[in-house]
Amino acid sequence: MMKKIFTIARSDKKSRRKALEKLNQEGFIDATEVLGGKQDDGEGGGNPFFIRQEASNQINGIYQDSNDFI
Amino acid sequence: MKTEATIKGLVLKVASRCNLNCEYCYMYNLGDETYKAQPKFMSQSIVNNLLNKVGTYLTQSGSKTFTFIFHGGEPLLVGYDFYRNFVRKAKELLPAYTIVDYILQTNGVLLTDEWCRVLGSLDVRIGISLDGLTEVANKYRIDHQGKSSLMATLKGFSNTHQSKYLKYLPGILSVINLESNPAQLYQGYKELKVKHLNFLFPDGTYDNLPKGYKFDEINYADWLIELFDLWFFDKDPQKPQIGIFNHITNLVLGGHVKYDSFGEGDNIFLIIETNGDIEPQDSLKACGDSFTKTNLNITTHTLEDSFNQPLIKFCIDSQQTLCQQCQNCSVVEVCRGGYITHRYSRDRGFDNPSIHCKDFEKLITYISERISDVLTV
Repeated sequence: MMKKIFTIARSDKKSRRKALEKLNQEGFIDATEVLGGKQDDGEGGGNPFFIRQEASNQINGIYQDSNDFI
Repeated sequence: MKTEATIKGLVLKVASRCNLNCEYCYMYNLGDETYKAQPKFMSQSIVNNLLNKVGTYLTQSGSKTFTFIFHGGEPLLVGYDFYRNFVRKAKELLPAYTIVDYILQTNGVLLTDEWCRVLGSLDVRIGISLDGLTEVANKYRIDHQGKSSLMATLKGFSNTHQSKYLKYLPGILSVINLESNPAQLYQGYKELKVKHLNFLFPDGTYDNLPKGYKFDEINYADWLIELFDLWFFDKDPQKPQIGIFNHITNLVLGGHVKYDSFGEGDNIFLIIETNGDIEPQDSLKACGDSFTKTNLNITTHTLEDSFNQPLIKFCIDSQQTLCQQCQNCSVVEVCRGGYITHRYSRDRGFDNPSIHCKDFEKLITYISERISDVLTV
């Protein structure tokens, strides 16, 4: 039997939001960055590392789907 | 099955040559020699052709955004005017409503303040390839005389930080080097105030394994886990953002990540070679000489024509065409088979798990457990 790792189901948006908030509040992650990066924050937010390995977090934000959180 | 993809952007091989000769480079040192037949630099005629084709594509597809990644070789070899002309022509030929992003991936050696001024004025964002801050970490990033590129790259990086012209600070793209110390690396990047970092697994295939790679063993996961712990438990709000960890975290938390190394994305970037050839993922050059050749060229074909080209079509759908082992794996939801090039063998094509499979499994499981620990407290 395959061992299942911990993940949150795609459909479980409530748990996802809660998890992102907790990890963000406790300083483990920057939820905005996890979701694809800050758009045009003028402070170097995002870098040119997009869907290629050189994908931009900030450009990722344009293209990622359904990453609604903040 | 018909590929229904939207082309998000093009990777432009604006220069087919490089001022460095990094040992692991898929462009020159993993078996492909097609660069020798390429013109050294992309001509204005090819630029005009490709922008015309992109303009038509955007009009017909209704896409509102498009990304150009200036790549090579070393894209700074082409000179300032190439970029000035490119952006000017893009404004002329692309629909006015299009949000166009320009990205340039450079080794940083030539990155002077003047370059920062030119690129900044054109809103071109910069990514710098650098494997760490020590000679050991950068031992594979050498010039054609075998000399280190580290100091020149650091100078280029420093120029970007001192420049008053750049709106966006550059990110750093590093290939994992196990000889570098993760703690020193992380601290060093923090001290340099690097805001965005990403780490790549070394390229290779089953027939052409990365240097020092040990088959059927954990190669990179322990190194990445050490780095992950340093990063994840660092509560400094200014800590660098590390792409691979953010992507895995997002996927573990049920997010959608369209990234070519993890997640469920379509590989929807096409490569335009220096002579205008349309090709799939350029790292596939590691699969053998001429592997990426398609007989498509931007002067004679449309971008949509590429969807009918078998290798490009396969690349676009690559994360949906996984081998049996991947389909039965506990971390497949996150890794989706990894980077397509790393699945290749001459015997079985892409019907293999990634050469980095064991590393993915250990790393993703570890990150998932750490996240779970925090969430269940």
